[in-house]
Amino acid sequence: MKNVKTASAVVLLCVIQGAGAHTLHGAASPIMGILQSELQRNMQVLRQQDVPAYFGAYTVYDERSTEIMASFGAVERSDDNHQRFATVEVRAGDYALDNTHPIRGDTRAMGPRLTQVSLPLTDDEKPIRLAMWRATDRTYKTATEALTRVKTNVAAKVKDEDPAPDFSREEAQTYSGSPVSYALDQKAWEARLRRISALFAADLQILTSDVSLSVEADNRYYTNSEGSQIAQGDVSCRIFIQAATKAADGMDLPLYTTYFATSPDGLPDEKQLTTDARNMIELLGRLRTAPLVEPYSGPAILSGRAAGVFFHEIFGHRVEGNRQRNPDDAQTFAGKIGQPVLPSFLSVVFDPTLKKVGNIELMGHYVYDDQGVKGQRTIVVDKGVLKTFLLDRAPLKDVKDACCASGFSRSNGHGRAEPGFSPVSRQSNLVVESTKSVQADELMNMLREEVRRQGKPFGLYFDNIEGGFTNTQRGSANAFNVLPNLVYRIYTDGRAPELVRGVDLIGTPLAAFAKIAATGDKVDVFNGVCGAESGGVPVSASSPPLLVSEVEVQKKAQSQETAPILPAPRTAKKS
Amino acid sequence: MRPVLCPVAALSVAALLVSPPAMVVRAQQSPILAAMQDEMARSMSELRMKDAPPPYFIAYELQDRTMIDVSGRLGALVENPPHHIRVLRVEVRVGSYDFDSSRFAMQGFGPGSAPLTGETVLAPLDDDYDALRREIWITTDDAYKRAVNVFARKKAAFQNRSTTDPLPDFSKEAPVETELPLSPSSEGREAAARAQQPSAALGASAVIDSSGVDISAIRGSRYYLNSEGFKTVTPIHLASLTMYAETQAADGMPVRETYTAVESTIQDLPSSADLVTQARELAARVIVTRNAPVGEEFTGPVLLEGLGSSEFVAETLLPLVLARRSPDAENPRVVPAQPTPFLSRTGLRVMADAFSATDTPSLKQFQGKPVAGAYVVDEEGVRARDVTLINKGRLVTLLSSRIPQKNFPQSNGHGRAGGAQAGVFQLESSLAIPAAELKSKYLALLKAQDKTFGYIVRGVRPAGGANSGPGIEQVVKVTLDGREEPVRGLRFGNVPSTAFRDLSEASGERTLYSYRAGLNAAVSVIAPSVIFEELEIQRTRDILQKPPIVPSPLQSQK
Repeated sequence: MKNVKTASAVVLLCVIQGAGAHTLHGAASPIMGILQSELQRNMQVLRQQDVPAYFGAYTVYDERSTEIMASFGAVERSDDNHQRFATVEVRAGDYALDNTHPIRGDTRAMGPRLTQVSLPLTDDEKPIRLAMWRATDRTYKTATEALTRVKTNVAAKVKDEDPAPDFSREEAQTYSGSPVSYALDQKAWEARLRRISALFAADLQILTSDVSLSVEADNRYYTNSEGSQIAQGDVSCRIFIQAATKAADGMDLPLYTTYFATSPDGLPDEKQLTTDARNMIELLGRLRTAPLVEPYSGPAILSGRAAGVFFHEIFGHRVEGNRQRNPDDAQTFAGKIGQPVLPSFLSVVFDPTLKKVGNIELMGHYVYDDQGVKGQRTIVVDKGVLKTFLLDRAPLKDVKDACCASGFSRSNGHGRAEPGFSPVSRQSNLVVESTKSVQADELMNMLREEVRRQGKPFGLYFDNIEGGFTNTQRGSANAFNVLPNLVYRIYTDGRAPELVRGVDLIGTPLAAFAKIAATGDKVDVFNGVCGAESGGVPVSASSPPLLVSEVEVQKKAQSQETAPILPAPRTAKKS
Repeated sequence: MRPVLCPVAALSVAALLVSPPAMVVRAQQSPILAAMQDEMARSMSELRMKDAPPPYFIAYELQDRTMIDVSGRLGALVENPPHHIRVLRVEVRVGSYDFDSSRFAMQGFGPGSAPLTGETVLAPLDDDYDALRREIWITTDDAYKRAVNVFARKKAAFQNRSTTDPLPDFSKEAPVETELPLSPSSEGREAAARAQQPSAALGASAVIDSSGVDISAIRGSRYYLNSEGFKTVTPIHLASLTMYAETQAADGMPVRETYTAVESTIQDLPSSADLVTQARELAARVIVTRNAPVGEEFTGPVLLEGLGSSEFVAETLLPLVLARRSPDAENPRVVPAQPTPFLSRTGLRVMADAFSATDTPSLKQFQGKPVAGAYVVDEEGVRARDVTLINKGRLVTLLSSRIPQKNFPQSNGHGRAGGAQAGVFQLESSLAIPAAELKSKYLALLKAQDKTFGYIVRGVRPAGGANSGPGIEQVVKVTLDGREEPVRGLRFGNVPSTAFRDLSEASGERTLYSYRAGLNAAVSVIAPSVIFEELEIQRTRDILQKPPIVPSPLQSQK
């Protein structure tokens, strides 16, 4: 069973832009030449085999990273890493039917992995060629075995209702981005994280807490047998603050705050981090004594970030093209092209070319996707009407009356994967746009009005969501479960909003979308790493706050562990 | 530098060597030990859960480790900066020495199903008393709750079982304090030099499909404290090197040859120049093996020479002298008891009469070379003891940890790598002959048994799977006229525990072989070349892959 899960509880990054003394270069770089020549040498022979290879691709990942983590005033990790590895893809058969064709009735199919080999850190030709050659041979042989299984399966099972080819034809691309690197004052950052993490030591009820910085410079070199040569790099820099306490009844109460930037200037300064840490400590204190909410259904507002996660989980995963190909997927939207799927005041765009919303940088930005296709701004829903899907190089059956000239036979640059996984269509920067937005106060008034109209004792305000999961397989409930960690009860009698705890937001997708009544006007952004078939990929989701006329909440899964028996040790011995 | 040993008063341990040189890190003042001591005292006196037994034993272990991993591939390097971590392990036991929360495998998966060896978490790298104590506090709380839960399930599982002669779960030992000088941190450059040139030498031949040199070293300190009064501060140091070369024979059979070295430090590993020589020999050997015919299955006398003999002993005889005990299980079918055939053989003949075996962790040097398996104190804080295991073919005792086993109720200081483990295992024969004479003895034995050929094994590797004995890396077929011909594709059949009674000859010359047993522990074996009267040699059961379709890039460049 495939759960599509967005772990927002992911380390935060902050990217430091190329202070640049590092050695990697674009299409002209030595490594690109070595890769291209070894790939051609292998493909020349493999194309001539009885079961021919028709496509090959090599990607080299050069990843440099620094991770620092501090907890309660002491550094627990401070590591530098530098690694290089390559993935190899070989397709046997032809564009119409190849070894990647889904096997019908194979319910245990996991996301396929690409052959992965580690490489030396230098551009030495011999070891690189030897490693790529060995991996290519292994990959080709695996592909021919898979193709035999595919052909048997195609012959034996019920006729495929989707005669789309297995691989799209795309133009060869050449791109040579500047290699990226970063410079980091590690000692200064260790000291900063020590100071921020020490704030949490003052509250003896906080059981676990850490503050971490993760900086990563990734340079990728992609080449394929169609002639593409793409060198691109990203620096990402994240800070992640987390702390957890326990309520008297044993309920775990975690809070997270994350920051992302693509340059050091984009990271919050220590003053900001200190303020946010203090706020978190204060909120945790209030959460410990906050009342529990019983299962409830009624009107609610989702904050911009919460709405972003909500859309990512419930909508985004269902418009990923690969799901429309998978015969085991429920394919919520497969037959809905040209039909309304959302209220007419909403549009949903996936835009990997977008770097920022307001002044917040987006984690889902890239130039080329992991199949060497340029990332394209893709309007999936236009004024409520479904227009297309997120597409990788696996085409979908063409839908008559479809909007777009190319139909679904070409990728729109959403073939993405964590290094080592086989790319499939995944989300990038999700942006929810509204033509029916009102100011925050007005939206709150609309909520109160709806509460009164429905005769409910209160409405809910979901301020923050830590993540969620959804199931899109047939044969199981296509419900979603979104995990809020900051929820308020909103009363109609003038009482202040009341912090509560202990609920998850649940529902089914089509019913939920129909109940979106209005939006706020201030867009907020959720940055995170989304985990699914092709591993974890960085994404973002931006949305204005949503007023939903009816949501349902259920009790959170609860830890049966009691609070610690002894109180936290006093800081008596500080020298 | 000499160890500084400070046994606690009521101890039976021998003399102490007191010589705190200037370099010794004064561990007593370290905030690490202070935080451990203070939280231990508080937990032992106050950590109680209502209606549950209190802890009767708590142990804290902190390992400060710096890891270095460097690999060479055809002269290019794959390396990372040294990786520094501190790992805290907290062990809490409830119940009593006779019956406690340890050694119990619960049904189900996930955390808690494997027998408890403690909770392990990352600890602060800073010498920060407060942060460390907080980490110890929360981890002790987890460990205690886990122990209470396991103990309840274990009691429930045992309430309807009847046991004929119950063994205690944990032995009582007299506490001892051991403090050894800590060593300064290690140098990664030393490793790079040993990976780069040798890996280039391995790549000289175009028929070798894959080759490399991998070096992995660990260095640091270990702090151990338990509620009985044991206290250990010792250095951690271990370095291992593996060199390998792979190719495929014309029939598709994979051919892989390796060279390994395990020492205490990177500096103790063979020099770069020596490794280049080893690399050339290894590369040459792979090609010889690749072109050699596949050997024939055989049962009869076998001559094991040099390193091959020591490796064989490590794989076959050594595990028999460990008094290991499988955990009890909620469902005994899930955790079958490990066979320990020597448990009930004390006083009986287990080897040919001339042979004796010892384990001597005190042996620091052998023929002028350092012995990596030597150690002073084991992982449970118990001082290592030199032990005579087999005397004139008769079994005297086994190596034991604090987990009691039938007939072996006490530890003899061999609680290593998570159970009983050897340190420096030595085998020798009182009727040894010069190594040069072994071959003629062997040919005579073949002749006496009407064999037309035999095998001389010079390299052995760990068993490849169930129902097979050790693998064979270097073997020649020898005919009665003494001619040797390399062969490939062989492995040992099962080696029964009775095989050692039929050892017929041994050389006076002995070879030191060290290997890694777990992250921090090395084991050394010192054994002579030997002739077994009967061993079974089988063909390997590799699945043969077709050779690569595209020729190697190294070949096409030439």
